[in-house]
Amino acid sequence: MLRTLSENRSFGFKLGVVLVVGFIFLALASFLEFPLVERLFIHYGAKAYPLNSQLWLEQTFLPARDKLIGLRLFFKKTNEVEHPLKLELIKKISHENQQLLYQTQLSSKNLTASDGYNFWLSVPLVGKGESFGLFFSAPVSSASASVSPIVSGLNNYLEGEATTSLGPTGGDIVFEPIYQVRGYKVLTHYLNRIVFGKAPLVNKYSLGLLFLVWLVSFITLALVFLASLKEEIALAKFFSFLFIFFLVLGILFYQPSTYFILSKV
Amino acid sequence: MKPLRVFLALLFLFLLLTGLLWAIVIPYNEAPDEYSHFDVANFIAQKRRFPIFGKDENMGVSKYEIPNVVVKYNASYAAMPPGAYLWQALFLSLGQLFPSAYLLARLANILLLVPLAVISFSLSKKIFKQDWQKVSFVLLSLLSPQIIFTFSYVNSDAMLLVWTFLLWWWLVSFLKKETITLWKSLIFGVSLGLAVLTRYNILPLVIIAVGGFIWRLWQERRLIKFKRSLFLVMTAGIAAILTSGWWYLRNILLYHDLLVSNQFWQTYYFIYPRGQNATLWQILSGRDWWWRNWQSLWGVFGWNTIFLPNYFYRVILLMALLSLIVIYIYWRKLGVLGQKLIKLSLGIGLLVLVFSAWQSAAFAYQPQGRYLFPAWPGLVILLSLGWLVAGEAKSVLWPKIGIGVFIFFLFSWQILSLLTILVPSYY
Repeated sequence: MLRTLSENRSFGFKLGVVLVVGFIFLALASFLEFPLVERLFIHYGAKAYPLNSQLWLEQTFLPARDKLIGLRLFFKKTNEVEHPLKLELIKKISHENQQLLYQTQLSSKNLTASDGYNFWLSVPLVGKGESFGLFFSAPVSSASASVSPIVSGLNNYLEGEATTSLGPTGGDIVFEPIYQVRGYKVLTHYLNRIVFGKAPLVNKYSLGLLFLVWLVSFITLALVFLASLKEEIALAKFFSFLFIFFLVLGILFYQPSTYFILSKV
Repeated sequence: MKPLRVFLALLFLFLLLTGLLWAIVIPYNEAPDEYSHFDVANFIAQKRRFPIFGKDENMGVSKYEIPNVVVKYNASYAAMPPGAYLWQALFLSLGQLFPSAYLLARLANILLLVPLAVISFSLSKKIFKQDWQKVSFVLLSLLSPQIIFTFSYVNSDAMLLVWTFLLWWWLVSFLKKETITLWKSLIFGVSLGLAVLTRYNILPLVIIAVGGFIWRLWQERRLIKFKRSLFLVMTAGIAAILTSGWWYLRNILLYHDLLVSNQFWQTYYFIYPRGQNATLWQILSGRDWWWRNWQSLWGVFGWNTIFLPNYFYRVILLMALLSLIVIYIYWRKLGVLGQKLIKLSLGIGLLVLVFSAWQSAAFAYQPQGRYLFPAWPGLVILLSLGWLVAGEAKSVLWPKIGIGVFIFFLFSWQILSLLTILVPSYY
């Protein structure tokens, strides 16, 4: 493994090329847009309000970023009764005035207990700081209806509130807005969240630097391992098998996740 | 600098950085019993003495609370051997890192990755001759997401893994018929002492190691006189007793119980009332215990609630089965040492499994892979030895491809575990 000085130099050169290309790629990718799922709060003491013709729920919220492209929602199933559900995204113009923007219909059979589902907006919503409402209903189902959005036992989300046809819930519907943001904003979002509340030494810059150095060490170690294998096998052959291995894994185990589209009205 | 030293230096750097990253990402107490472990280490750092179980505050029933959010109770780990807590207390004493004192204790565990890598590498040198074999063995030993997770939070499993590798190093020395000198007996004794100062689930390995030591001396009976053998055994025994005996003497004097197990489990059942325990047979014959152990041996985070995708565990299981087939096919080529290593790995694995199952039956049902850590080097040997020996000849490519693909699979899960599982789970 890397026995001669010229091999070391050759390895060093290749490593340098890989790292430079990698950094250029990351720098360019940081300006591309990616979906960012924002976890607003960790819920405790979940409650359920099975939707039916007499019971609806609404959660108001304020988008914190420019481009809302979806919402991740969580449901609890109280039984296996199959019935349709309706989800509407409404703009709150004033206390009595509201405008329906998006809606979708789905069946309770598409939802399993406690899984999170992405509801993608057919057209991104630009409305940072404006008030919106997420309205859950099941207009044709009976009182033995089976699905409820998960409602937190605590009022954690301060920019909105959850109400039902029976009155306030005392908590919030658990939801996670999905925004479209540039790559570097995704990175700073997570860095800020991770370092929040930790010692002053642990800030987003030190964590960002740590992550970068870790990435470099990871790539270098992987390349050193490859260099040790290179003496034994042709790397092209090895990478072919590696590619086939991951392809077979993908074919065998890939399961597309269930998602829904909120269509613009 | 020699190439393997370059590899080792890079490995140390990678392990330390990975540990630091995971330690910062994983919120405090988002790991099994972390607050119970931290409480003991913090007590030692603050009060400069060992806590007395059931007497000092929070040292009977250990409590963790976030007001209005969560309250957790556990039987205090003040009853447990203090080796890991002493090491963590050393770092906690370095200074205040308010409000993140736990990060100092986690740093103590992260630094243990370096001796782990050194001992693992030293073990690989005893077993293998070619560089790629040694590198492969070390990477397989250390790249499991569960290993990294273990060294990134406050616990005693991390230190157990270090002494586990050290005891396996000794066992392989005995199998290789290396001469036992006075100096080696002394160090072996200290190794045993340090091991029994960490966690009780290392006990099966300690017993085997002692058996191996005596067996090695017995093998040398024609070259070493009986008196000398006895002297070497006594040296090892006295070294072990001096290293760890004081703790067990303290247990007897304070609690009239060598392991403080009665008081610990009474407290535990007070918090978690004891239901009907399954029998040993019911546990071993049930699929759940086996599968959950396999999952938590390779990658389960949080309070055993955050799993990797199911296919991850299935791929590794498939690799393990293939490895056993390769061992079977290449049994003769393994040589005497290789065959003995396989038998030893299977034997210790079985013993540790039964011990863990017994613990689940006798005390509390806990199918957690970390209780199988004393058998971890043996599992790595079972996973790798067949492939690495089969690929010794330069012209034979498929074993190198096989082991290389597996290591890259584990490499990929180093990044994926962090970015697609841990970060989204908490943030």
